[in-house]
Amino acid sequence: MNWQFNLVTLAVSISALVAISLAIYAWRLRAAGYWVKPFVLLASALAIWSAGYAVEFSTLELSTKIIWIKIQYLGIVTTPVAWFLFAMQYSGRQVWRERRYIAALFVIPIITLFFVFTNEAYHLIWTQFSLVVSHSMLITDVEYGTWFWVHSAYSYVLMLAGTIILLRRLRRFPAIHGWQIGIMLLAPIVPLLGNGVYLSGLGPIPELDLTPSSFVVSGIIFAWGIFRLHLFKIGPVARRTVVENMSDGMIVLNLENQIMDVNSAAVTILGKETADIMEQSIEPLLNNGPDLVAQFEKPGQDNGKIVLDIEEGQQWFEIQISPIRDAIQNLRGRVMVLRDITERKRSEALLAQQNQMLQTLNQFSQAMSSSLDLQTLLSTAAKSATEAIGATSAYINGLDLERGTITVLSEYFAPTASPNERVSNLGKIYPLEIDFGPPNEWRLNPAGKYVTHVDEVGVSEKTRTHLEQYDVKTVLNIPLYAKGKPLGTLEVWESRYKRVFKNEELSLMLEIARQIALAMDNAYLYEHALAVNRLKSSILTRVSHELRTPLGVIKLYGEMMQYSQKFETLPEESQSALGKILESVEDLTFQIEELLDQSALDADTLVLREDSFSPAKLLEKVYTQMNLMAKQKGLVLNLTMAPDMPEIIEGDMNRIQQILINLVGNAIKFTKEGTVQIDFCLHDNHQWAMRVSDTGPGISSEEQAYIFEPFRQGQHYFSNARTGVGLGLSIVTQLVDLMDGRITLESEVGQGSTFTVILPLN
Amino acid sequence: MTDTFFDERPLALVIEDDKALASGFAVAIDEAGYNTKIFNDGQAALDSLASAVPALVLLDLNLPFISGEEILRQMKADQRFARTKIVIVSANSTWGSYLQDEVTIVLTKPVGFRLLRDLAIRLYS
Repeated sequence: MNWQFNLVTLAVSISALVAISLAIYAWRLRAAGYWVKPFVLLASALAIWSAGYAVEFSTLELSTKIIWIKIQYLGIVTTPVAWFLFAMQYSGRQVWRERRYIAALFVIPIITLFFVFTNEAYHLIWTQFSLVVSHSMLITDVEYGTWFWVHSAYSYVLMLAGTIILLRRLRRFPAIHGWQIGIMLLAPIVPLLGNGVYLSGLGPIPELDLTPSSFVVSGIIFAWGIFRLHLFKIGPVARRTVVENMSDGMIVLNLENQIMDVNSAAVTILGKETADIMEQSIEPLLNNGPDLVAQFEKPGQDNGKIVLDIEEGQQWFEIQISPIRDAIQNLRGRVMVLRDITERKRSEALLAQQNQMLQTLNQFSQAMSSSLDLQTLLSTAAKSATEAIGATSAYINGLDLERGTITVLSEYFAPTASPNERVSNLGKIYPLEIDFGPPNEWRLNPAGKYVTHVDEVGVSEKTRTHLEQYDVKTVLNIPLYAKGKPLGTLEVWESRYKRVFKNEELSLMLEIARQIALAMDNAYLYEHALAVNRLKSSILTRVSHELRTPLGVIKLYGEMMQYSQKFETLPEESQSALGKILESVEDLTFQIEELLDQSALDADTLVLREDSFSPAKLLEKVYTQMNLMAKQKGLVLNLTMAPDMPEIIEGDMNRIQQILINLVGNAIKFTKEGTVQIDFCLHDNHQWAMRVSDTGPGISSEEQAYIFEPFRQGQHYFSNARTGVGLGLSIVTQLVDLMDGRITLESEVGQGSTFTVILPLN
Repeated sequence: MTDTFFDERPLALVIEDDKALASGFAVAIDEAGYNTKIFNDGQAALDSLASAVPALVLLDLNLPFISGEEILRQMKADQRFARTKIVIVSANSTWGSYLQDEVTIVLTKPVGFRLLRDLAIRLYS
């Protein structure tokens, strides 16, 4: 066998090798996309074609050349079909798996192949083969038969169709991929041109088929596309798939903000057919002003939020606009991504609402526990209940089960309440139309539920008329129950519209009602406790007063025996016994005084006289009263009054005297020797001070902590006290409090004690 | 007690419902040099006051039928008693202290024999 080798042979061989390499490389990457397999087929077809041509060109015998020409046809007939399939797959049309479709495409190529291999019988492809010498090369020259032209026409149609499909993809694709696809398109165009030149006979050597040679260029372009741009790995269809399937809407805009491309999510968001929105201006479609794009493209503000009104309620989208630039940084358009954040917004709103409710409840609980005054509590509760769910007014009704009535105890009108609604119902009594059975059998309206709409079936004419008079459309009526005992109802009105309460709102109101009931119960208990306390005080007062009469008799007749002219002078023993009786009468009287004062303080019935007095006279009175007692114990009672003391001071002298006598009495009682000192002086411009100091045993710091409490006595300080039930210092403290003054104690064990009472001058 | 008709001593009324106390008070006031009459209820006292003008009235506030306060009110409204000394004897110091500007003095029970006798002597004029 003879061979010829030259540059053409070399070029055709390299082209064949490149095509084979491409086919192998692509085959290994066939998982990258559906379009890789048709590409492998294409590369294989080209490999067969160019390899066959290389061999054909290299051999010198015509019969051998004819065999290799026929082999080339395996590739030649497959190339256009593979190209077309590649284009279809690459642009997203899934045809590769449709075998009937592919079979149909291969009908003509198979017929062609049949005629190629049976040419000797039918001469439908070639009518004649001959060898010519051209430019020192031996080239096969052929005359084509009828079917060849059918085959050629078919091939061109497929090649052109594929090329057009890919060109359309180029137009639809963002600029950054466009030029890459353009280069990919060059690959088939080059062999197309080469083939055109050969068939038209316009080439430098008319007999030389340039088609396989131009596959060198084609192969290099594909290789570049694969190796440099990794188009197989991150191909546009992969992106397309992602973009199509993502839940965010993607819209590609040109510089005029017209829609160039949309994914299916965007089509759904815009709510129109794709055909209706292509090349339309984006802003009117999003119900937005002409500055939408500019607004969201400002630097640092690329994540904006817009609201779209979509039939049922609002929908929220997060909008992100990114510029599309080409290789030399020219702005080519924009890509807009719309993310549906409605759910997130709703959750946020719900969370905010729940937070708000929790906060309301928290504030409400605090308010409910901050006071025991029923009226204050109920006013707060009515206001809170109204505001908690944004109703127009609320009432708290007290229940009188015996009379079968409810009384409006408290009401609140929101600023949104209608003028008719604002007519006060406070204090009004209504017959009870609710069956207050056991708690779990509450029947609040005929339908047995909390909410009543004025216009609903089953509402009595009377109720309807009553409610309409106040413009009420919907009433929420919740029973108030504490410890299984019905106390009343919480009634919330809505006058603006017929209102459907949400479950959260109902839960909130039930909780508020529960707390109102508890607070009412506590307040009732507190009121009851106060009443009991007042009763206790009044009994104590009456008993004390009743005791005074027999005490008076004992004292009167005891003293009569001592002092009356009617009685003879008693023997010494009788005198002494009588003295002890009378001493006990004094003690008893003193204790009754203390008890009376304490009970008056407890019941808040102790009233101070608004009076004025001379401090000098007070000092004198106390001295007269206490000096004998001091003398009997061998103590010195000293008095001083600062020269700047006013001559007249405002205050209840009897009570101030009581304080002073109490303090001096204690001082004398617990001091064994030395002095008891009383000082009056000005404390500042508004206050004056009484100071009682002694040289007694002092009071330990532990005892100081509690000696002002009722019924407590310091162990040392009061250890030998014969009188008093331990109320003395406590009463003193409470009296000083009542006078808006204060009392302090400075003392150390063994160092004596000093009580200072500071009182206002006015 | 001596016959009032010829009695030169100033008249004193003891108005007190507790009989033991009333007698005791009367002894003390008697010893202070008064002609003392005892009334155990308000109505009897008022009847007596219609015809007599005492120099001293010892008045308990808590009386049956007519209260001491009512007797005090009527006496204050009557010019005949302008010079009469009124001493209130009350078991309730608070109640008594409310009236302390209206009367000569307020005593709180228990009241001692000596104190009452000395007071009556002082008020003797």
